Amino acid sequence: MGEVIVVTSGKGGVGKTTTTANIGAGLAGRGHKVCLVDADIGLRNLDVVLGLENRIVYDITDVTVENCRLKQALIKDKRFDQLFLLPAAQTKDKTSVNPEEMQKLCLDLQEEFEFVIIDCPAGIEQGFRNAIAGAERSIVVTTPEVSAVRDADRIIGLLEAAELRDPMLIVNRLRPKMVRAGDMMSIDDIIDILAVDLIGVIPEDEMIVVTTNKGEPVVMDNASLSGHAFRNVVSRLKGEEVAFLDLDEQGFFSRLWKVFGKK
Amino acid sequence: MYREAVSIKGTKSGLVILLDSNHEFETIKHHLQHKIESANGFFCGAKVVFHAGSQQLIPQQQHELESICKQYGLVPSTSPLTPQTETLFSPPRKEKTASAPGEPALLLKQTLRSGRSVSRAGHIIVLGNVHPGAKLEAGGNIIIMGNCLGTVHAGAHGNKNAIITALHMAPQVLSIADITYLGTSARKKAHGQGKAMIRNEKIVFIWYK
Repeated sequence: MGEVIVVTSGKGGVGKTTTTANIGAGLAGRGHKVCLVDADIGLRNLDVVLGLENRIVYDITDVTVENCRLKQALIKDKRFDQLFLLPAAQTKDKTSVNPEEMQKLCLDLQEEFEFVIIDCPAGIEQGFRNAIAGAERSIVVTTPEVSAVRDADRIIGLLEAAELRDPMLIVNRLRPKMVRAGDMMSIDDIIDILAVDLIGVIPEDEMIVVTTNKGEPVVMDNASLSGHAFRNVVSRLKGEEVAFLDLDEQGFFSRLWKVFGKK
Repeated sequence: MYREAVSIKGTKSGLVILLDSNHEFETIKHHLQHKIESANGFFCGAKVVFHAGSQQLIPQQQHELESICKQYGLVPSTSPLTPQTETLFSPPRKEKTASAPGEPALLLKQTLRSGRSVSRAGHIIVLGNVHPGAKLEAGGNIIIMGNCLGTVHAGAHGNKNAIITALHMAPQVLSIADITYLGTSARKKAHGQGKAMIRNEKIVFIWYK
């Protein structure tokens, strides 16, 4: 039996879909059989981020209303044989699926896959309730902004109420320079408020925009810092102990000085 | 098993008529009349108070019973039962002695995150934080063993003596009875351990060093 993990945030635009795609690709890259589920019905994006938008024939609602078999709706990734996507419907809305159907769907997927990762829509309404219905663990994504942290707090409360305890936190789009200058919330500030376990800090990185436009998850890019950060998240998700990246010293010159042994 | 609908006890300060509220009021009235009648004027001139156990008599019932007593020359007394007679005649209550050292309060061993709302007529104690966006309302006092960053309201039913205390006091909105204090928008940790109360119709904070 595989593990069902929901990626959620409350607020929109903090990087749920990017995180889902990268964790999925990262796990598949390490040899696991992974299924990504886009639960954002009506506003589907995960297919675009993965570069699979031209391959969609059936979607999640076709599966729940039994228009097709589950296997027919699953799209195999271009790069990884072990990575599959169950896309959201674009012409329907959140009410076209209910939590019971999602639970059953997750059970079916669990049989087949080692990891089932659900991309949750923003908000706390039916779409959110559908997305968490079949999940066993949860990843909460936030950015270092008061509004995103506030929404993450609310979401953690709702997850706890739904018996999804001990969510794992990912802080996305951190800008170490701004934190040093005191213009951005630090990781410590965020942990202070949310009081949950941290499994990843992703620095702000232009490569995310580049790779998203190309439809290739940044986790495959060995040169980028954000790709490295996502690979660390994947390791921690697998239970490995990995030190957090030292984001403070990432300026080109400071790295250069480091090489020459200067401070 | 019903106790006798009406029983009459003598005390230093007069007669106490115990009424069993398990019976119909009509039955009680009938029994009372019968009892006094059968005493053949023995009770004439005695002071009398009614005691209906945990139940309160409604004024109309009280009046009806008093008028029966007056017919037979008894003198209804308006003074309430002395504490002594109260303990004499009310059945011993175990739970009361158990909680004697203090008052009951709602204990929340958790952090109240944004969107949680807890309301209680009595006191509330939180072993955790009250986050921004969480709401806490108590008829009595509020004690927060953690950060108070949300919306808190003590003495919600008008108790101006209620207090709110927290290990880190920086609420969004803090109210006691009908007086409200709006928190400062500064997000830095400026405040520490403190207590809020009403002084001269204003909310004041006392900070512990």
